[in-house]
Amino acid sequence: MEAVDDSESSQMCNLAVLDSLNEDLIGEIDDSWNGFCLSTEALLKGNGDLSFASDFVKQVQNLCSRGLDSLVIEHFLGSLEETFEKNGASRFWRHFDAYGDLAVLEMNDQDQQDEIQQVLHNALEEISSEKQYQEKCLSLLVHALQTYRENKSDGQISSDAKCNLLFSKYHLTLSSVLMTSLPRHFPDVLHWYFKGRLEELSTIMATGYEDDSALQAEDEMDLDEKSKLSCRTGKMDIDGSHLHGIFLGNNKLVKNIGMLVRDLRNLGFTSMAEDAYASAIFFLLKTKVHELAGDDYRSSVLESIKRWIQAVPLQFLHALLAYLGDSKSNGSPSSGLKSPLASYPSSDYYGTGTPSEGLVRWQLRLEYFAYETLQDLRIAKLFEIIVDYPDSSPAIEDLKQCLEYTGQHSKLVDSFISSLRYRLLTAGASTNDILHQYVSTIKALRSIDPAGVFLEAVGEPIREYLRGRKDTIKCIVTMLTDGAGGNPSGPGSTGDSLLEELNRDEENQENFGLDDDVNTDDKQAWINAQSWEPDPLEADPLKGSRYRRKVDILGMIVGIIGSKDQLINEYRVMLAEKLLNKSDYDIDSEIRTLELLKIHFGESSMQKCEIMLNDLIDSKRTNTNIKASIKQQPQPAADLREHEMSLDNINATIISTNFWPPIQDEALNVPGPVDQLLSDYAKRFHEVKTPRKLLWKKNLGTVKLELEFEDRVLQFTVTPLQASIIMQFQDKTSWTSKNLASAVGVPVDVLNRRINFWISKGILAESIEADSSDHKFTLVEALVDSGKTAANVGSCEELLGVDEDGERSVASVEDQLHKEMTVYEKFITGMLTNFGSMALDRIHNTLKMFCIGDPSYDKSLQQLQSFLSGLVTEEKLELREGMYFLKK
Amino acid sequence: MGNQLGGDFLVAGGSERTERESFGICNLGTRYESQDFTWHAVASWTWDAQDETCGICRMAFDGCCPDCKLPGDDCPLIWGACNHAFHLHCILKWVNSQTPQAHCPMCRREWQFKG
Amino acid sequence: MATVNNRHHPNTHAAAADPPVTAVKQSVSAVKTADTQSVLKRLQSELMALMMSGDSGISAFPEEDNIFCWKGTITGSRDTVFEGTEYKLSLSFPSDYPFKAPKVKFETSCFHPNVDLYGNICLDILQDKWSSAYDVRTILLSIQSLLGEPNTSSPLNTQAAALWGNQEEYRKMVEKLYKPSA
Repeated sequence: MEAVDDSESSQMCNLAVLDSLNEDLIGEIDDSWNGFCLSTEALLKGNGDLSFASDFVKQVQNLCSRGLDSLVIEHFLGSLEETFEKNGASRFWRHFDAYGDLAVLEMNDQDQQDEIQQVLHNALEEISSEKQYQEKCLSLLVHALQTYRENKSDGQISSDAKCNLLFSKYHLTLSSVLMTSLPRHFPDVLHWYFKGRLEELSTIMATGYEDDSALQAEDEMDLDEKSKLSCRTGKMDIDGSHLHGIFLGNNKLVKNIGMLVRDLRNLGFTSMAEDAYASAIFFLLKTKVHELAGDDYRSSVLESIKRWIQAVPLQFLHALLAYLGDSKSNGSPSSGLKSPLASYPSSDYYGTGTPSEGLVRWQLRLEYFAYETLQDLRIAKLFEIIVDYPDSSPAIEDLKQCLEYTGQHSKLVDSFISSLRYRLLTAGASTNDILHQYVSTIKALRSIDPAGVFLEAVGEPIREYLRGRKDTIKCIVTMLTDGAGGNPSGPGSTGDSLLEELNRDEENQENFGLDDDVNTDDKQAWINAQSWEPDPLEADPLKGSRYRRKVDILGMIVGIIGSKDQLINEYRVMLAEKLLNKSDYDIDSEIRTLELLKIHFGESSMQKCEIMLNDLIDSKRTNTNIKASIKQQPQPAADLREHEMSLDNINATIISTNFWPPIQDEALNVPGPVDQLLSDYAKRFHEVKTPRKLLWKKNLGTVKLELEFEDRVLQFTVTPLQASIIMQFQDKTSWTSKNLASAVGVPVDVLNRRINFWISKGILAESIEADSSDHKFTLVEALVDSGKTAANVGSCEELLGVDEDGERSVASVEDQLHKEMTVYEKFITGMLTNFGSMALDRIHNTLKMFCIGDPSYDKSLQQLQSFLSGLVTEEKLELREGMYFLKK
Repeated sequence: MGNQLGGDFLVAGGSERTERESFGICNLGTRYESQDFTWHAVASWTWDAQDETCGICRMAFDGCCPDCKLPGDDCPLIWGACNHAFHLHCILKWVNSQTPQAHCPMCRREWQFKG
Repeated sequence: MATVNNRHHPNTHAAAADPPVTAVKQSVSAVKTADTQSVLKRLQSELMALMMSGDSGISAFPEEDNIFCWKGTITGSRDTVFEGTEYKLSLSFPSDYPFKAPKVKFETSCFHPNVDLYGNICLDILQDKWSSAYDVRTILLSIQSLLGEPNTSSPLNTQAAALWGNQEEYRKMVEKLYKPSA
């Protein structure tokens, strides 16, 4: 028996040793072994009784001297495992049997919480003491082995390592025993434990947290103090955490939790414990985010969430790590040993002023989680948020920051598009609402997405939908140019048109060079927009906004229609309508709007509108001149009475027809005296403006009328036709519709329609003649019992009834569309006659080039193609090999 | 004001509310007086030339010549002795381009501004 | 100098009164750009009018990208020797159009007393009888009627002028020489 073998490896099977064994020796060894086994058993079951210790040590050394140390170790560890299984693990798990049913855990009442806490603490205490005892036993063995080896005087170096190996082997055995017998619900028990503790902690912190913000405010006042603090805390800003670290460090609750975590770690549950408190923290954070964010979009919550993260979970973790770090340096039994399962980064730097790496990592994890949670929450409610825009801009700003952090913009796009489809792009929504939501979307999202990349995707479904609606252009023009903008509820607009707002934005934003891409080359801009490609991922959105595209709201609105010409045309039609109904020549707001439109669409595009407004200005001047010319002329005395009703009763808007949209000119016989006045006026005009003449459009204009009855005076503002109708009743109080129609000079059906105005006002009554289908209208003199206008004594301004049945004095855009198509056809025929055959794009380009008058060509290639195939179907054209020919 | 309009036929105070029968049959009972009104009418102006468009620039007479932005006073018409009208700016260009003697583009008569 | 003067009549009074050479040159180009605008407008309105007029047998359209160069098409009128033929023309407009006449040529060869072998046309309204009241439409109509009613007293193509008397032979000659464009 040589020491060489011993030091090498006792596990090696040396047959030579067997040869040297004699019976005595075997018997001696056998006794020794039996003694060892007995003392081991006695020791392990001794429940702290170490009276067998000396015997145990002797036996061990005896056996070792026989080279049986490996057998000794193996047996001892086996016994430990067996005992632990029996006394430790199974007893430990039995504590949690009651919580096998998850429902019990989820009840979440205070008693339950307390109970879990108690049970967990008890169980851990019990198993820890068992483990401690076993460790003591193990140290006995180790000690025995060590003494033996020391006596042998060599191999010392490896013996320490062997000891450590022994302990780690023991711990491994321990945790594997626990793991293999782990009941499935244990992680849940842990989760609920931590959740309960953290909630408790959170409530405690809530008070401290408020103190803290007060404290921070004080800090900010004292800059020196503040800078000192930030020096100490280093690059990561968790100031205040130290204060709380102290506060929490002394907190019994944290200590308890720390103890628990330490115990769990010692049992090899390091990662399970971490998972449990991590999931509890995330759960709590999620709840907090939901609670803070809620449905209030008018304040930013991101900062308070971040502050809460600092104040509660990070404080907790800080304290916990500190506690665990302390216990480590105090040299607890497990300190020297790093469990293979321990993934927890050590908090080496704690206490030096820099937050530990682990804490930094925790902060990042928590913040990311908070950003993501808030982002998901906001994205899910983005539709409402945008409806609430601009009041909801704090929520948008939060979302922007979240997205910058998480980069999950595509989530936003997908979710928002589907809510648009579901909530906005439905038959029930008015075109106005959709447009306003579109504009709000642009405004809201451009702060998130200054380059407009995601906006493009989000906006397309809206644009596509709006293109299918007939009143889109009209609504767009109204929204752009009208102060009220059809947005009565919109809190942002205080009688300001969108155009006005856009202009203001632009002035605010652009103090550097004029970026008039819309102005100079919007066609190109439109082409660019069509060939849009996503920006490169690495593109810096901050730079992008300045150097590349910027979100152009007007451009995106024009994009709905497809061309600015159509928009301008519609504006012109609406402007004409408005101007023709003016009776005061007041066009200040129209001039302002036109100036803005000129900025965006270019002066030449707005030329006709400019002339229209100029007509109003000229009319006002001419009107004054004409009146003045009368006063200069001496009136013949005999004419005085004649002129009691004079040209003072007449005002006129004189238009340059060529520049106005087609105007519906309908015949009307105005009352004789008025007609006379109009002729006088025209004569005066001819005198003032020789050789120019006036052509009255008698059906157009407005008449302010005061009807005086015996007991009351009623005022109305009506159309010339309505005025002519009622004035007929001055000399004759009753008319049949046929006679009245011919007196007024309009078809009977028109009369019947328009006379309704007076019937509805209770001025005229309608009755049907017995002998014919003719209607009869009679002046109602007594209105006393009708009640309708009883309150009208005095003055009653009635609004113009022009739009009552959708009648317009100006031809609609749709009428003009038909005209356009005819013109395009003639042009196409013309070019094909002279060039023989042409391809689609050449026809397109030629039309763009030369069809620029009124109407000008503004269709897309696709529109042209379908128009051409229509002509092919009508057998006017032929299409062969991509070339169009005239059909001969 | 307005008395004249109804001067002959407005009999002030001729209402007899009791005789409703009379309403439809004759104009004895009910009347009103158009006390006051303001008639804001709409008209278009025209140069009243025989043609629609100027023979030189092909633009409408009631529009303006290609060099002008505003029609009307800013771009007047002028008549020749032959009674043909042109935008003033157009005929001036034509007259200046014809040396030594200019003719009316329409009728070839010697161009003279109508006095 | 004479042509320069012609070009910028309307606005030259000041410049002509005191004409240092450079000043004149500058004013010429300035006037030219201003005039180009109005020529463009006139040609555009002519095109629109021509397209909408619907005259049969005459047509014209600007080439590719230049509104100053048009291609024209005339078909021979019924009951003339040119019936059933179609002729291509080119029209090029000066920058002082309509104060000067456009240059009009046959692109398809045309056997006609007043048209030479190069397609040049002898027509008074395109020369000294030009008036700014004429336009593409009236020019094309005049040429169309010139086909049926040539002026044989001062012919560019004497052979054609000599043959004109014999309409039957003339028709054969027209058919023989007619090369329609693809």
